[in-house]
Amino acid sequence: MCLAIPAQILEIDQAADTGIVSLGGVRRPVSLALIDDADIGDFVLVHVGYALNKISAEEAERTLAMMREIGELAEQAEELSAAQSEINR
Amino acid sequence: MSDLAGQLEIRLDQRSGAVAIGSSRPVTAARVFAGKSPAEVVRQLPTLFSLCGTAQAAACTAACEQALGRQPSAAVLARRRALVQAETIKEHLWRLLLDWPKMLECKAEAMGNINANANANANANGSSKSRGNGKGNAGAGANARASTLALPTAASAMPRVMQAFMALRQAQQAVGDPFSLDEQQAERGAAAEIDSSRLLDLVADQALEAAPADWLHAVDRLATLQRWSEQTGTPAAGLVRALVAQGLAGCGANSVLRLPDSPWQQLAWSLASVEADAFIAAPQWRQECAETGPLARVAAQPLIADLLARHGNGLLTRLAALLVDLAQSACRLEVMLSTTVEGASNTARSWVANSATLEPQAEAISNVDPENSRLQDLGRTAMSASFTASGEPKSVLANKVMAGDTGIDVGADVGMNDGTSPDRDPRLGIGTGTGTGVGSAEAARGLLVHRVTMINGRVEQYQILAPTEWNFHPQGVVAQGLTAIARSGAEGAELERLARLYITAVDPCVDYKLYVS
Repeated sequence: MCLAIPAQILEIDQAADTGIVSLGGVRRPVSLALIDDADIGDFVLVHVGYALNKISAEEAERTLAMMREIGELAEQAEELSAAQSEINR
Repeated sequence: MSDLAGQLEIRLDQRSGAVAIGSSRPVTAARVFAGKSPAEVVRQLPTLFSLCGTAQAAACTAACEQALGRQPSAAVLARRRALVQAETIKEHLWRLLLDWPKMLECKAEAMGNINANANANANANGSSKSRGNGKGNAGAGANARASTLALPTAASAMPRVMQAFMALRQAQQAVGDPFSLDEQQAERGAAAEIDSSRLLDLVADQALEAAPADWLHAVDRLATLQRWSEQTGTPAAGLVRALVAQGLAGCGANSVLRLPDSPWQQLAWSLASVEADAFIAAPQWRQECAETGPLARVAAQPLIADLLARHGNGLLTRLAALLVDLAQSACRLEVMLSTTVEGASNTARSWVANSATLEPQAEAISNVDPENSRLQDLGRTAMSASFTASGEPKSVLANKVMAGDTGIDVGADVGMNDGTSPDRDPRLGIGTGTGTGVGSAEAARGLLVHRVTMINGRVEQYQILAPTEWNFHPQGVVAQGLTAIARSGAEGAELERLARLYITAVDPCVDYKLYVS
């Protein structure tokens, strides 16, 4: 299950073909070498430091919403598991 | 959010060779689909797991269709498979052009020279061999120190690979989506004419320097692999030369099992068991670790069988398996997109019947291995299609290919994976929106299995069993490979380099941290 996370391009260094993206609010450097005509403000899918392809803002938001939901489910599961351990103790 | 993709943490103790692998991968992320309609799941899931989105879509759609009691046409199945092959080609080229060169410390400059000379390569033999040996070279060190964001020179074609793949997918989507649960939409997609030549040309230019079928025929044992690597100017050939020159052919060899060709029934039971979450996080095959991926897929192919006999499942065998899998995927893609499927309304079952006639060992779809049993010898089959240039082998291949991965007998929701035959799931009803389905796809990194249970047209439970959990199991192939490397006497920086190379060769689909102590 290979999650590639939507991120918005904040800065571009054209000479180095790299950029800075906002990944869940955190600034991260990425390589832009694999995509064409990236612009500041574009959304891209990021995987292990590479922008893979551009996606629309709507698609990015939908995917991010699902990812937030996954995060919440994981937290709930952890809390449940912790509570269970507490009971078993 | 940024850490949501998860990470592997791999610790290697230099003295004892002990390995510990921890994972923060979101292995139960598919729970997010509970409560959704199958159409929503089929639409959303590939965008979430987008790195191998096509294989994910194939497994997802197959699982949902089975749960809904639906059977896609042969043409739709063929198109889905073709697109999965295209994705495998894209991913394998990424490994060959980007990941392996970085890890093998192939000198960027030398690789660039080789690359530039790829089409006029009269004197590559000999001179380029020495270039491939990056060990102890100052340039290699400089390359290792370069920014991790910079592409190795060997990867100069990688943007073109991505563009070719994206163009192929966009051309497909513009006409119709063969992964749609809407039959008309899927059929429209299956009938779309799409051009795979850009992607296939890159396979020849950047990896094989030959037509894939010809390459599979010509490179059939270690000696011919070495001869090919010495006469070929592609980055991939440079990797073979470098591995051999650095004495790394058998590096990391171990005795881990390869996941067998037909694991479906047993995996379906495991996913239905009460221990399913633990199984998904650390799967085993009959209480033993097993690997999945290119090597497991092509182990019976002549070149790989020869390499396994000589070097075990070490690095050269793994690199060669990647090349064979790439060549076979290219053959399949070419044949699938060029073969007109007669009678697109035929169901997969009738294609399976055809296939069974041609291949007596093929069984009913519920028991048949969706990928390997039919496609194991695809390299040779595709070659015969290519060499004889007659319609017959091609139609044989088309039939083999058509026997798509729609139906795994999902079994009952039994509580134990005890090897006994379960009854059919009593909830599996056709057209009721209630049932269980298991779908699979051979993704670039290995076997991907999805399981869905539905009640009244809504997903009750969604599970994904992914290749990384097999291969990066705490006692799995990577753990055993790293132990073998540590015990071979490698130390310090060299141990770390070899460990990284081995991890790359097995290929996690997430970032990892390696600690050597």
